Amino acid sequence: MNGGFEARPDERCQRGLAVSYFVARGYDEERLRAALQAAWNHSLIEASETWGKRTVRRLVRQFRFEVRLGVRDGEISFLHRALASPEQRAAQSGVFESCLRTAIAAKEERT
Amino acid sequence: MARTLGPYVSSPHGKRLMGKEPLVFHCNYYNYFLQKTLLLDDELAMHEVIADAAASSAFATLSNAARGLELGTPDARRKLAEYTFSELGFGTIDLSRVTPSGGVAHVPVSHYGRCLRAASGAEFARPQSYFDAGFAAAAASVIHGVPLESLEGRIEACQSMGAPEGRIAVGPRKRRDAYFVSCGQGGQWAGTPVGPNKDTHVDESAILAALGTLDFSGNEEGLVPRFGVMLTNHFANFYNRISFEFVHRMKSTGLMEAAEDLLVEAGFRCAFHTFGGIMSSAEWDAVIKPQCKTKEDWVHGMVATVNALGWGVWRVHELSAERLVVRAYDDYESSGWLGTYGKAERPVSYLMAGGVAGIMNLIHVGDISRKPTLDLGFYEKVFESDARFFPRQVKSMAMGDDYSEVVAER
Amino acid sequence: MNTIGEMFPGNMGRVRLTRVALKLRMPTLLQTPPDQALDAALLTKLTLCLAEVQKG
Repeated sequence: MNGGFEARPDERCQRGLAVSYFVARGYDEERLRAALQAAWNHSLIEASETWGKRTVRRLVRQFRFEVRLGVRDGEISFLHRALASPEQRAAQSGVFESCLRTAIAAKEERT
Repeated sequence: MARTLGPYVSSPHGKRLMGKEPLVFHCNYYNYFLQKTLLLDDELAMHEVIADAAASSAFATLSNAARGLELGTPDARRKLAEYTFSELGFGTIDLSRVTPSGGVAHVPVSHYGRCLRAASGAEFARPQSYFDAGFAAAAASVIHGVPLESLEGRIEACQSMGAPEGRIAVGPRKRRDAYFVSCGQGGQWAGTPVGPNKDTHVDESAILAALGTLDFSGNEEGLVPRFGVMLTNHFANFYNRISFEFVHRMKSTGLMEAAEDLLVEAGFRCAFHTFGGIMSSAEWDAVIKPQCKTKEDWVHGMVATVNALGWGVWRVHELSAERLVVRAYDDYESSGWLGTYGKAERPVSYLMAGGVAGIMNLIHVGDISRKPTLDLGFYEKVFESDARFFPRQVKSMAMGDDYSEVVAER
Repeated sequence: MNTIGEMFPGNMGRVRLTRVALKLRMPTLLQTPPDQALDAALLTKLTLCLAEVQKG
């Protein structure tokens, strides 16, 4: 694991557009949400969905990516948009992972 | 996001309409395997049928919606067409450069252009966006009030062949055959289906209520990434027209039954990837899996989910580890056949047949609860298994029965 | 590979054979016994067609 998480691209369907992040020890979801918003100048569109007893938060940077927090315990879904160039995908993945490390560290500090 | 759209209207037996056209969810895998089958024999010219079927369904939807919304200007109707394309998961289309005499529609994102490659496993020998071509022609007709019969769309560039964006040239129709007129809802059964099976821990109404809260609209790019696949909220009459016309055109070749077998096989692929994707998804884990105590519950859970797809009402009539019998009330394939051709001489629910067998293959042969990787190797393993299930269509609404029935057995 | 059975093994092979038969408009292929030897010209034809069918 790199920085407390493992990234697994979903090659099956979205051909590298979808990446699942697995965080074994958990992360501070609110901290991650705030870090992502700050990284993108508070421009991310937020929405949530109820999946049974689970609340999934969606953060969208239009035409670039969508993050789904809470899809499973310790799992985050990162979906690049089709129009995002390879360079943009690399850059936004990098920023996301940096924010995720911050959120993992925040959780570890609390526990 | 605020899009001008024809409203979604619920219709009996789980159907949903937009602009009076029934919509059904299908994924990129089914869209690919169905189209691959149809395009096998160049002499059939099925690529023209695909484009024309798209035009017919799109024209019906857009013209009905435009009338209902009282959209009095070309600009308003253009936005309706563009938003509808995106809302339903077909991608993004720019129709601003299409005039009453024609022009080029630009498609920066196309479901058919971009999303079928994940299913094909190989580079394409030909463009894949015939649907986009038909949609563009229909949109031009509705936007500018030009008769649909005078226009056709032609693929100039397709992302499936490596183009950075799709381009569809809309111009005067050169083909002589007339566009097919969509039958709308088609044939419908007026009765009330039996209720969900009670011999299960699965609560279908709760599942449908939960799925009803999820967002299945096309995102800002006009794509619907869900359950690990790319969904389209597609026109039932499009699928019906292209499938049934394919069978018609194969009649004189001595290969009609073979053609039907391949349509069922496309249904197997749909089941494997769409149902497999659903049963492997985080959404399933959260909403449906908690109710599943047995393999039989998994079957009931998947059938309950099918009832959210607009395919009609499926009911488990009989279920064991060796046999599944599903009755479908108002299955969209039979509805479409009845509405277009009248009573059928043979069953026409090919997708249903593949889907019913596919559920049992996934659960009992593929052990989908272990979340295997749904790749070609796994598909072949299941398909080659001596324990796999085969479907038989034993009743058909298209032939006059009250419901269609498929038996899946080993 | 000299027979239908060798060229199109198993259930997946049967599907590929069906696609080839459809593309070539040769319904008799589907009735050919799997162990029947095929002549060279037909083998070549089937091989080329199968390669086409395997494309996207």
